[in-house]
Amino acid sequence: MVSRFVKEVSDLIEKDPRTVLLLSGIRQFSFREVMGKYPERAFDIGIMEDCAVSVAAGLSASGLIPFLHTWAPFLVERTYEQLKLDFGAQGLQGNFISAGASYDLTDFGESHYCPADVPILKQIDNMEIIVPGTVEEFGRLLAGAYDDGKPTYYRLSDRTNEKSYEVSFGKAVVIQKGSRGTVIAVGPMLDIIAKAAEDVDVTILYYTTVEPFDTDTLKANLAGDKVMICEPYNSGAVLPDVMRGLSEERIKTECLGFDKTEFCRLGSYHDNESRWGFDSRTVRRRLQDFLEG
Amino acid sequence: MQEHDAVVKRLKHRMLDVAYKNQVGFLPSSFSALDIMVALYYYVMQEDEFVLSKGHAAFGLYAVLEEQGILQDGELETLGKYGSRLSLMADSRRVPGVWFSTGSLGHGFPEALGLACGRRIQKKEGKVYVLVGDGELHEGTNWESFLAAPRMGLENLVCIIDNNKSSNVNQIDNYPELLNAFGWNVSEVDGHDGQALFRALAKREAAPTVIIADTVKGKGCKTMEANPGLWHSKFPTEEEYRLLKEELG
Repeated sequence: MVSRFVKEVSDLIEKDPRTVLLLSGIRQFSFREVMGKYPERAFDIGIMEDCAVSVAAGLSASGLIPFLHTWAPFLVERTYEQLKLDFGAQGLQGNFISAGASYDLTDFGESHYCPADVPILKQIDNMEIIVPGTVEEFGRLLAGAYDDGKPTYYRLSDRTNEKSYEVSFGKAVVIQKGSRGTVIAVGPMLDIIAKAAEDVDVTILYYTTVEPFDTDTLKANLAGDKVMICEPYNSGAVLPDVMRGLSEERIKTECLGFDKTEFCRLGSYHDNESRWGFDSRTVRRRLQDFLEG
Repeated sequence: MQEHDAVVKRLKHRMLDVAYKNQVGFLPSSFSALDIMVALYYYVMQEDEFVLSKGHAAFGLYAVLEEQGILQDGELETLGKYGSRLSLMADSRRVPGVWFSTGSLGHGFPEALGLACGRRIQKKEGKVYVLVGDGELHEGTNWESFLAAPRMGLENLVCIIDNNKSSNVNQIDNYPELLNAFGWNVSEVDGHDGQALFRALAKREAAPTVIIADTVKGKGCKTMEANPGLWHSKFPTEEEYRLLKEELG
């Protein structure tokens, strides 16, 4: 996963002379080739994420397109004010690519978990949020958004879907059509949902952009009066978008994702996923209960 | 530099008039930094850029920008008024000549690093000047910036510390040794001496430069100089306005 992600970003640095890659203390070895080739435009600024976000804003103001990559909690939660003021409020463009997702680093402990990244970033003006399901999708989405004039957050996770789709920025994909309900699967949740709902009569919509949220596809493909939202971070981040988009409908919703009171009990992701309810058997049961309830 | 002193005095009178009329404050922070901004805008800057990181001196910056014709004539009188583009802390999306919105301390300095780095990549001439306050230096991002800039090789970056001793805590009395150790060229200057400021600001060095400007908060008005804490964000009553105008001379 890492090597393909590194290639996608390195290719862009190579191809577009307006781009600048800042690392904040991680993956210097992985990016050594592009850093060696373009030392002025690809470098490790050091373990100083707040400063790095503001430096990226300065680069953006000068006319360049910055990319900043580090672990999710340090990229989002530590730097929240920099993202809010330097990028959101000033309307500058920049690309923020995180690693670690909610609980990828399960055995590290609380410092490296970040299940709130998407919910809190949705509060920032102008911020676009991309949650790809595979690295190939990341490449496509990156190409569509990296120079669109806005700050964009890309949430990469170790857990990915098996299959990639022809995704494009800001558009949901219809995976399956049904009549009893609608399931919204965000990024790497799709494989679990697709397996859980294999022979269930529901529509599955696949979202890899969650800000802006594609309400048109939801409205055009709404099945039944029940909407289940499955997100790989703290649950309910897109619920306000769904409610706004369906304000003329009477719908019942169910949110699947992490709960704020949940925590990771170390071990591996696999050790934790059934407790979190992130396995297809549990999701299938919840979906059936929801449809029948 | 009689002309420099006359410009500074004229701008301070203009600010006092607006502060009284609009009932807005933050005069002492601007009065300590005004000589520096006048030296830059009137005598030093050509293909260069200026970043005001200590956002609390935006009032002073607006006064300069108005007289320089970057703001509209008379626009300073809209400061803080409903519908004005001039907020007490400057907004880069509204005010021409303002690179970054500041006010939350510790943002402008690292943003200036990015601006300087971007200009170097694009092979643009000129320097980036950034003005920080000594109180602002409590914020950690400034020290991250002091660490990073020499290692990024930003020879086109000049940081000016408006050392007006604004804080009662965390004061530093060995900036030269400290910042030399970080890899900066360091010079010290009387921050109210136009000629000395011009000489220090116009120098070209092979490493990022930091100029420690010794300043007085509220400079020019004895009442504010004597009680800068009280006057930090206070606006003058009619009686105080007349007194401050008289003190300014």
